[in-house]
Amino acid sequence: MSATAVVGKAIPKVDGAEKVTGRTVYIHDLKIPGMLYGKIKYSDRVSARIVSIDTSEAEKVPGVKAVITAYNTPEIRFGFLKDNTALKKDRVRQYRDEIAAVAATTPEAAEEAVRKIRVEYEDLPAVFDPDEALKPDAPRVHQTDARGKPLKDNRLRLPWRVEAGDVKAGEEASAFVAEGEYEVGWVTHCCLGTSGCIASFDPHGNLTMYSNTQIPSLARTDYMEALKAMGLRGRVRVVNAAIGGGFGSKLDTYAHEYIAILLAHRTGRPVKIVFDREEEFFATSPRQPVKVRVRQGCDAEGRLTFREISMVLDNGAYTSWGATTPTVMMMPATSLYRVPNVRFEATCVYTNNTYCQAMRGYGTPQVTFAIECNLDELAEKVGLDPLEMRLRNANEPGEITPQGFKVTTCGHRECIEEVAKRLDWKNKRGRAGQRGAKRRGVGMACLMHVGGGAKIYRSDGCGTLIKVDDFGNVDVFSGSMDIGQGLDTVLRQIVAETLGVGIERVNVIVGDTDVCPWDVGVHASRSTFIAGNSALNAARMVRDQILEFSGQMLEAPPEILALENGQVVCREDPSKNLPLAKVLRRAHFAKIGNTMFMAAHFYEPDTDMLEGEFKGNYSCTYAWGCHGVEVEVDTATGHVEIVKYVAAHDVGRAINPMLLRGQVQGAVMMGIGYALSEEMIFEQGRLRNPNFRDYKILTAKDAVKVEPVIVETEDPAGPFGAKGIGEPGLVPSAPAIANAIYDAVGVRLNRLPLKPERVLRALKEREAPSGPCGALQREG
Amino acid sequence: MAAKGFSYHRPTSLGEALALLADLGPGAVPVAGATDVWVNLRAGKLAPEALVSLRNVPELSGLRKTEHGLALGACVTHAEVEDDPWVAEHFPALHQACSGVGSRQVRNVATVGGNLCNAAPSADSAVGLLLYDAECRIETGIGHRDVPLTEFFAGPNRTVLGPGEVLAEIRLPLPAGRTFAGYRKITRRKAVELPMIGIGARVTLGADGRVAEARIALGVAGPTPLRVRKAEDRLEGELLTREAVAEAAEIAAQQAKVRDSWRGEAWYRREMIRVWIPRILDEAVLSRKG
Repeated sequence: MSATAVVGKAIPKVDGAEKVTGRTVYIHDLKIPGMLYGKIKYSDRVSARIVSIDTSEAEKVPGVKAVITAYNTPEIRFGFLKDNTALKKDRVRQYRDEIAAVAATTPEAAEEAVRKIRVEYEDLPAVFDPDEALKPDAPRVHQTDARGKPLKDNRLRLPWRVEAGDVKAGEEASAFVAEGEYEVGWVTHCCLGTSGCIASFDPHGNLTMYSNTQIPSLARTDYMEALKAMGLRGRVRVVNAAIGGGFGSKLDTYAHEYIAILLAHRTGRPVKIVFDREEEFFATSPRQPVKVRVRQGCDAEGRLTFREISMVLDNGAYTSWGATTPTVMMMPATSLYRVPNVRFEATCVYTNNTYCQAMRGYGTPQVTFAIECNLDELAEKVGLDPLEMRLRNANEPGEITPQGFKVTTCGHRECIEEVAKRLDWKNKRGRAGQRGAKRRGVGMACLMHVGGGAKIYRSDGCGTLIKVDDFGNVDVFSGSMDIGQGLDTVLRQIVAETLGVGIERVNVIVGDTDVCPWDVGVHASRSTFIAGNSALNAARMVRDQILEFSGQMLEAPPEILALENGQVVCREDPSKNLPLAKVLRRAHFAKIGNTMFMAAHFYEPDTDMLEGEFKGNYSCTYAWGCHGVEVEVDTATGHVEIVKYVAAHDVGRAINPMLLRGQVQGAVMMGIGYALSEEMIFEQGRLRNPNFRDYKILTAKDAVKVEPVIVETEDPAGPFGAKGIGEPGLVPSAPAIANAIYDAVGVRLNRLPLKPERVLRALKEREAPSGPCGALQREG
Repeated sequence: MAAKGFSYHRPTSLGEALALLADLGPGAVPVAGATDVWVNLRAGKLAPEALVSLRNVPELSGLRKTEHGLALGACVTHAEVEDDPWVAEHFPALHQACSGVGSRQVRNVATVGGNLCNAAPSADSAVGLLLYDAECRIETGIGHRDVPLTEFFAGPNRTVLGPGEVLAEIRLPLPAGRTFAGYRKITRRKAVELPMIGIGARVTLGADGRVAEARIALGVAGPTPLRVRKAEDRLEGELLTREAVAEAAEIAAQQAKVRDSWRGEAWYRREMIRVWIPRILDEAVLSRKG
């Protein structure tokens, strides 16, 4: 590993002090002169025809400046399949459908006006279960697609299928086959900072959107399309406030943003819409529920022969990026462990449930739960320790997976071994002779994820501009965005390292599309890798300019010069060393220079767009990991306590070990919540638990001591060797815990969350499959 | 924020508070920590003409140890109970019940009297207080009346308090003899939770070593927090054996009017009563010995 001054150091987050002292400006804190407050009227029915909307009483509320509906505004279509509209006309398909909106001088007036909007509905049949929705006579959620073409059923026309090798031959060559069905429900991001925006038009019709989006550049494109739909030709600028949590929730644009634009245009005043907590729960898009069927087999020695996965996803009533998560689920499905023959197929189905989105992991937590639980079942059939099963099939550097992924660096095996060692696997697995109500067990599960971007959009690029002033202060304008993951700290480290200055000299500017270059967005754990490479390249260009000029000044070849500790350093003759600031001023003011140093770089990774047959290398490198957990199961209550948790990750290189540990610890907490406690409870399309009391996100008191293990493989494609780590930390938590429960008490739970009721029911049903089980049926 | 259109009053004595409530009439709602009232206001479930804050009324504050037991001002916060080692020693089940409510931030403002007056079937402190035969002193404006806590609740979110009446104090006699007690709320996580079922048990042993007094109380097992007398009867006069406790737990489980809801299934709530009554008493006995 190369010697570095700043990279690889545990530097506290640069925005930490502002955040803990309450100085950070979130969208909630922003006020613009003349600003109005917008509020949305949501549907009272889950599936209905809108017969009439009466806004007359709402309009009379003092302070109300506008009340809009789909009937008095232009139609704005949005979403991945453009099947959603900002305001709903004629019919509603989910409870969160936006029927009308109000702009008023105070939030109270806006709320009162919304309460006074009267809507008359005619109920229509609804469907909530994806399997039901696939039946020929099921009520249809959409009659036509966005272009008006009739749809004959609720199946989304999306080609999510990949096949490689010969699955049939693989199955015939198998000595053992395991088959199972796994089910995961809705969970949501729970951002502490709720969603919101301010839309503001200038007198020339140019729109500024104050936002908290994860995708400033793509959001700008979306808003430009909206202006076009409104018959406007203005420019669009997206300015981000600080983001109080993203996790994928802000990866798309949403109705409330278009509604703010419509209201701002109607009133000629800036309009702010900020969600309250209940709205954040019911009007944002959660992770999609999936039913997964897995079959995989192996030969007599436990080497995998084939894997076949099919799944049905509940898309909800409209289509966002959530419907594309199968393109990422394919990755572990085809390529986690060496499997020669693979088939993957996913069906997304319209229902009258809330529509779904991306959430940290982008589908991989769901599919990894299925694969990794099933792998333990297969190992049991073979009679192999699950640890040994995993080691026999672990991915290796240099392999090309059936889907076409080029594995460069790969610490998969090392991660498994680290977990086994730190968990004392050999002694703790399959403990015999446990007595009393509480039983302990250990389990593990692995993950793979994109670690070097993911080309699921036509460009996976990011631009960076860097300028240096006369004193050695550096401004870095990145297209990427800090959403709390620490991008601003990491970019400072990368640029400071390259220019030989302290990180306090480096400023990172993100989140303003008028100023910052293009970037596809903060997703796919790509920012450290892609934005990092972009910043690194731009910084190298600036460094080369400075060294070139210094060479002229010092009459030395630039090759023997370097930038270190705020100085231009001459390796062969230290007496020639000069302070960087002096060189910069000389370049600026002296005739020989008359220049200031700046550079721009757009980094586009050399990867394949994932489309067509879904084969190719869509990330520059892949991230690997293994989680191991020891649990204690209370067999009388079904309660599962985490005793020890080890999370080993191949991160390429840790640019900032402190932030990295934080990412892993936070992600594991999210993963444990997904495994044990979190669930959005929908009844007939209605969310019953839209608050933190009833939605069981884990609290500080539930925090588990996580032992992160950083495995460094120094990826040649990554900035200073780094890979992405944003998402991987939560991917294998649920299967690791489920496998540990099995080790402890011998019951397999194929449905998340693994809540005490489910664990206890499984234990009771095993004891008396036909006897007292009747007592366990739901009582009326 | 839907909360507007009401006047807000801050009396500084009990007399002033009662007079205000009488003057303002039935549209006035007394409020202490407001952790329930404010949620209801925001949700539009409560639209008072006036809020009368009881937080500055000295007669309602303070936790007093008397020779007979404990007197809690209705405005004593859960945190005050949580922080009191004497209460923890002599009324451990009440201490556990109060210490597990919401989060510390909630416990800093939420009052025990407010928890009782909100009269939720899930009220943690109510179960703890039922175990200790708590009695409620109600100030009526023209005098006062004392009501046992068992008779204080009239139904879900309803009490026997009439218009203009204020719950002033909760009194608990000190159990005589060797006493073991505890409270357990069944929840999925460790904080900010309502109980899926709240379970409390107390036994006080007489000089003969037999159970002189038994109390079994439950939350979320009926329309109000309640005592299960049949389960208590099974223990009283008996030796505290595993068999007797298990049978009492079984009776309590059978008697509990638990329901299926999206918050929890009836069979599981019942099963937890079965499991936890013996565990609570075991733990209480062990901690006394330790």
